[in-house]
Amino acid sequence: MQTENKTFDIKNISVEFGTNCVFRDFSLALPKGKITCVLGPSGAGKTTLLKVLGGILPAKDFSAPKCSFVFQDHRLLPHLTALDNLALVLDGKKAERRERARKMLADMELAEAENLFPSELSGGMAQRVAIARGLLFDADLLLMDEPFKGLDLALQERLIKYFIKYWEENRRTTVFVTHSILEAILVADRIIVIDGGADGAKVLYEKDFDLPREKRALGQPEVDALRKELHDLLVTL
Amino acid sequence: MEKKRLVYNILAPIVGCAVFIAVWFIVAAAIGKSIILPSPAETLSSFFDLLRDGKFYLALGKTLARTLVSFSIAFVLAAFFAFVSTVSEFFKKAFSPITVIMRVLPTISIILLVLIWFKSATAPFVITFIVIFPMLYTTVLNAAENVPQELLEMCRAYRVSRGKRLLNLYIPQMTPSVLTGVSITLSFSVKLTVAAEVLASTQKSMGRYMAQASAYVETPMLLAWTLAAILLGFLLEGLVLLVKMILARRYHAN
Repeated sequence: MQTENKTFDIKNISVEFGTNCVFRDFSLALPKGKITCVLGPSGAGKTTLLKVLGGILPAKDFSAPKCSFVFQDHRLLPHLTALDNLALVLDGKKAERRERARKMLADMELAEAENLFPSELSGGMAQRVAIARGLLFDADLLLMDEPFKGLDLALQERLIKYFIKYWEENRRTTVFVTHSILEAILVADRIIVIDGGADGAKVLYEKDFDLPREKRALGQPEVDALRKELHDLLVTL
Repeated sequence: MEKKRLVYNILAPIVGCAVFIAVWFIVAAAIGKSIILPSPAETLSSFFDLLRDGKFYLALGKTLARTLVSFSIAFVLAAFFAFVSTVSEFFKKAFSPITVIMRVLPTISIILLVLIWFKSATAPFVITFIVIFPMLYTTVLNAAENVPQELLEMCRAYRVSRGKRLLNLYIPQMTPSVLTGVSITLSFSVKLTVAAEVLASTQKSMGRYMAQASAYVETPMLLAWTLAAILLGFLLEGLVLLVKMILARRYHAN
């Protein structure tokens, strides 16, 4: 159900692993065309939430919307070139799929990766191809599970800028899970913090962050204040 | 580096063979009775006699055909049942006792029972099938279960069709381990078929000629047929290796 068409509403997710209740009637209103960052301690259910939304993990009475998923690792098929990895997720005739994939790679300055296999790509480039796949796939939601984790800081920063640049072009409703407060501040339009409990995960904190992304940097008072606020909350969890 | 590889890959096996033949030569010379152990030269001479005999090619062809037919049927059925097992956990559990029994059944019991139930021409097919089917089933099932879960999750998230998953994920990922299993099972199938032919006394078969050579104590001839069986096993393993190399290039193995 959509509220005035401004939010993408996720209703009543329930997931249990044995006796462990991860979500019970969990609901979330995602602002349309915005990035919602989900923070929370390990085991809070962040990745489970994404898996449920992405249809990877079935949840009771929940029908998963069509989603793009950018994982922590690139998850490109090792036997296909970058071009064919993108074409794989599209429907239609092979020539048309490859043409769309080629255009996407060219638009995202990845034309030189077109005929390379994942093993021939650097970590950063493989992740860029995975982001290209996520943006190319025609879906209602874009889900990102710590997509820049494990990369060195400079590369992380470059990839965040790169992602935002291409995301801005069609502003897909996005759920971005991360452990990094700074990453969340650089990327998010809205930040939520969730934590698990005996009754399943709950949203403990929710805040819109409207500061233009180009102004977001350490030392900027609003960024520093939000960072402290989130830090103070997360250390208690 | 190239030189080191040459030493390890070519020179070392040649040295191994040379030592084996030398020991064989010495032991044969020490015994001095070709009826017990013919020398490598006598065996080779019998082998060349065989090559000049038309019955050799007929027997070789028939044994090869029996091996390949039973292997192919076992492989197709094993792949089919392994596929059903990956889709249905219930079927996998229900099928597991059958494969376990087939796997632990003593080969000699299978051979003796099959010899009672089937004609001598059919028995080698049935015996080879029963013994290698569970091996192939386990190989294919393990390969399917070892397809990385994270890649399957990706396919599920992006709603990649089953057909595309099979072609682009399952087949390329499973091919190397399945072919390794196939090469082992195929040369094993040659041994089984020959053993079954010996016991069933199958007409126009390598096994029958080996049994005859044994009955008439023609030891050089028996070893010549054995050499032919070894070369057949090598040939089949080599062919599978070749296919594996071609596919590895095609699938860009890394």
